[in-house]
Amino acid sequence: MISNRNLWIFLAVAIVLGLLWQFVPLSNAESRFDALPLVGTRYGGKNIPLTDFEKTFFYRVNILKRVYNIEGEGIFVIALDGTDNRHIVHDPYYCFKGSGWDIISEKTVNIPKGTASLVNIRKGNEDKEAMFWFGNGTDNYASPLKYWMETTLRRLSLGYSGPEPVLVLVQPVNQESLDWQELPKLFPSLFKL
Amino acid sequence: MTLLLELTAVVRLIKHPPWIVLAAIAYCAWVSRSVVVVWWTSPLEHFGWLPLLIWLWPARKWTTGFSSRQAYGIATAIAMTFLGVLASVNTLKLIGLAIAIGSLVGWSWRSFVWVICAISWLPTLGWIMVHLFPAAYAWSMLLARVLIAFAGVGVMMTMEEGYDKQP
Repeated sequence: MISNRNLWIFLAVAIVLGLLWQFVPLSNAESRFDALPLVGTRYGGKNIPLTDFEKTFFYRVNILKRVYNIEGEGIFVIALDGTDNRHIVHDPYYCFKGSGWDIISEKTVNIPKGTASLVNIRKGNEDKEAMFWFGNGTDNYASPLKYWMETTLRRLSLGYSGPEPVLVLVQPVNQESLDWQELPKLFPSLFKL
Repeated sequence: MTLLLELTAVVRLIKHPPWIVLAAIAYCAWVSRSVVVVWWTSPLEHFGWLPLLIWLWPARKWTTGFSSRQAYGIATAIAMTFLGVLASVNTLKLIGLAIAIGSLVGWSWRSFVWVICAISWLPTLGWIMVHLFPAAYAWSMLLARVLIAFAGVGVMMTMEEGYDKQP
């Protein structure tokens, strides 16, 4: 049997080590965000300031929030780096549902360096498409479970397991859908986040 | 009579508090406190505290002794929560909290089932349900949570007589 004394020691060690662990800094994905150009040969974009709610909600999260015009078509891009607050990076599927959107369809599509999830969502009479993926600069993937595993391993290994993956979400601005096949050709940098 | 028994249990706890169990519960609860924010901000998790309150009902029958099973339960709870802190995984912290509370009552196969039913108040269940039942509404998800919590309580209630008997 584990003695009462040993349990107290275990608890004390857990508290102290847990506290110390929080002070070990992990490198974030800011440099990858900075590397995403605002203007390219076939596109131009601008940063969108965060609302007061977003500033509070996305506390300690690096955010890239932009609108791009790609040969006449507008896209909204948001990327979240949860290095310092991972819990805010949710499965977008769950967030859509929570925001009142119904998921009409979902399919995994190929993108440069991996796969993404292309979802069709509906709220009332409004239909929209959105594409999201998790990217670590080397690989892109659609699985939130893989994101959780990768970020968990990264925290347990104090960052030695690899770079922090980020969530990238792309939505058309003024239209229901986009030519998703063309997007990687027109804006290849987006898939390097 | 029931009230008298409840009061006796409270007096017993005050006289002989299982300090390590209470300390472990306090630790697990403190590091899991962000679940309150989830209940407040996530539309799919509103009223997530309700299944927790229901689920907690059998915990009023705590034990004051300290068995071998309880010791292992507490060690597991601290380990799970500690891992959750290091890895920044809220689900692990909450599982640790559920196990710690389970250790307050004492371990049997019924309390094991009851602790498994703690999934009813874990935000993780919302995520699972959204994927399994994409057409589900928030209220139907809450109903499912409440039913699971009641199922856990029901299993514990069937052993009401033997609650305090420790192995």
